[in-house]
Amino acid sequence: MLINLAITGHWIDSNFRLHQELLAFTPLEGRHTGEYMASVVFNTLDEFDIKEKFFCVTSDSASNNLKMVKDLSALLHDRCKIKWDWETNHIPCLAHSINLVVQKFIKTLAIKADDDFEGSNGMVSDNDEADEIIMEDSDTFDTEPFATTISKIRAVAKSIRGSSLRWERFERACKAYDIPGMTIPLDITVRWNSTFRMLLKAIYLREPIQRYVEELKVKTMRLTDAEWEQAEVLLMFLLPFQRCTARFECNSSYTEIDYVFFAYDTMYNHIDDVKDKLKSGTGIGALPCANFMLTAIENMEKVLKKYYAKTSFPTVYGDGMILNPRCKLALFEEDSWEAGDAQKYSNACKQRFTSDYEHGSRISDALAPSDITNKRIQNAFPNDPEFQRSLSARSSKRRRSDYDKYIEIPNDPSIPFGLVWWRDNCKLYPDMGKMARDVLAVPASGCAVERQFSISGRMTIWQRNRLSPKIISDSMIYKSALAKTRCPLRSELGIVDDINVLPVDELEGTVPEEWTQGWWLKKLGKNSIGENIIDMFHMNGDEEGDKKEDIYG
Amino acid sequence: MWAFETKKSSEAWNEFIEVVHRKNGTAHLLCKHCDSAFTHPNRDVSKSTSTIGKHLRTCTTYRRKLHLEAGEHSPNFDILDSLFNSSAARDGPVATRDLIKERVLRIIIAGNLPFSFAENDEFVDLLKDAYPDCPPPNRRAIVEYLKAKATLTRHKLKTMLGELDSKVSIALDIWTTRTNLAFFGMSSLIGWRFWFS
Repeated sequence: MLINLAITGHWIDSNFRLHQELLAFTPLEGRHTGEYMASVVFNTLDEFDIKEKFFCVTSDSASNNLKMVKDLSALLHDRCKIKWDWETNHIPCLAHSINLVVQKFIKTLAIKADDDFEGSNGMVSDNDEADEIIMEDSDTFDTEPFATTISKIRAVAKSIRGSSLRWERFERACKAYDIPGMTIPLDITVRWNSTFRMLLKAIYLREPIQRYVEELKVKTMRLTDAEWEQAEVLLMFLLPFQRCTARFECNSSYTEIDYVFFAYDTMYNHIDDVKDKLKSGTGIGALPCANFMLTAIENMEKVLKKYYAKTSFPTVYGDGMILNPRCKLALFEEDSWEAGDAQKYSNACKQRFTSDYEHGSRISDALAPSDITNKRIQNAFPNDPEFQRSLSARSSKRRRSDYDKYIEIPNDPSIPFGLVWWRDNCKLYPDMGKMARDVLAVPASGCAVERQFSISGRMTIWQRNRLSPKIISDSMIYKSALAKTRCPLRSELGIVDDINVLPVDELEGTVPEEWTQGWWLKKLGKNSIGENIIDMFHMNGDEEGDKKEDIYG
Repeated sequence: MWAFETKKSSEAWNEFIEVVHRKNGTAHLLCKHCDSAFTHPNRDVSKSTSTIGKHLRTCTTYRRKLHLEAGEHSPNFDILDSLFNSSAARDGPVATRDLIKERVLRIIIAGNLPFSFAENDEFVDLLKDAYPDCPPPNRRAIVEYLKAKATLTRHKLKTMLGELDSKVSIALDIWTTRTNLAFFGMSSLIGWRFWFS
């Protein structure tokens, strides 16, 4: 068993380019307690000499990670006399939080996946008669409505994967409806997305599945119309959560921290909407399964509240939002927030700006050419205290207004990418630009690290059993450096024009497909969700949804 | 006194006559086409035929003969000749041992290949054809080169971070990269998160 600790560094350079680099891929020995991990992290910070520049640490909310940040804070204080507050600088991974929130929902509905099948994945029997054996297992369906639906879809998915003959039969069923043959992905316990994907694919393949089940003559797998409806309702309910997760999972070149509050806002609003509709008894409230769903959603909301409460400590969430020229204070001014929130966050942000970043500008001002002339005048009147006073008052007034100047300019929804705006405007707001560089670089989720782990999983296949931990870690470091250059050696030796490269690819200006309205409808194609189901969800919430779309794209 | 019994696999041998110097008694090779003399390749342990191979690529008489054999009649032979011989025909960086090592390492790392791929027969042949002047690296050399490269990468990162004037945030996580189950023939590599187990 080889356990690795991966650390990625995130920062924005002076050209406002977001960097994500793998700093360490260290094998852990023995028990991975928080204390031990803290020492490993401290050593890494020491190795790269970034103890002074160290800002935030993002990890999931496991207990040893909390212990780790506490110990790390103590280590930094004891050995280097650096004050680093773990409470405000530890960011819980948003993707993990969303996962646990939706897991609660899934658990309450008793549609949790069983992982038994995972082990026998590799063994595909060629026997068509094996149908009965599998079906005997899943004979005892739960009586709860959603559980039955999901376990039937799961049974179909397993049945298709179980034997090559059945797979061919299903492929024929697909071909009959002009769909290329495809399987239904099975869901696993650790990720709720897997359940979402299974549902999505099953609804897409509704007709082939019906045909296939008819041919097999297995009654237990036959889904009634009401059950299909349930699957669609479930999919519609989970959709905003999928959008929030996809925003953080899909792309590595976006800033993340400025969208966290938006993600929470989306989830809260969605839960409230659906709850209202379920209680009202019309729309989806009229469905027989409404009560089940209501309990599950209430349970889920409790978990969501628990994780949302954790966002009150770190300051970067509010700051990140304000520093995004697209949102600024827009979200805080909405109805779902309290009236004083906008002012509260703005004041807190301004205070941090004044205490931490104004000083930096004073140093840079001394180097600026405009101040050299000031100095000359100053030298001309060295003994004039009144002149000195008025000069310093005037310059400090200019400095103080830097934050206000920024906050006063109106939001521009047409800005595709905050960092590009900052690169073009950092001359106007030099101090704020510095703050933006620090804050916007903070990762809101551990996706960058998880990505490194999937890369390492592809490298340490079982045929390469004898790779030593040192070589694995070296390969990972070199591999990530290679991935960053994105060009073969030959062109690397030539001239690469580094300065004109945009902070992100041009493509980033367009909104990702998952983030647009109705992408799933396009994906589902001809077998889209029934109009009646969509109407159930959008009885009165339409206008509100459109408004948000304008602010955030 | 010379061990001439070694297998002469290089085709270049056919174009040379093995001779002995009359006075010194040292072994030499004489080009069949232009009478140029070379020291014998087997004079030391390397037994490298690269010198005579290089000569054959530049020997005008030999090249002309080859072209006539192939049935090509080229009145303006000099241009063709210069094309063959000019170093500009293969532009790009000059092949050194380190460069080849780096290229092989990049292929191996990018493709998640085992390091023994560096000793794959077909691959070695390809390298020999592409870079006849450089011996292909073996797996040990590649692993050593990887270590050096990783250290260099870390050093570069450190310099980059040293010059940086803004703050750095980190993200971290733990993962089971490999299980010993693979020894027992389980074909799946399942990494699970320790907090769920």
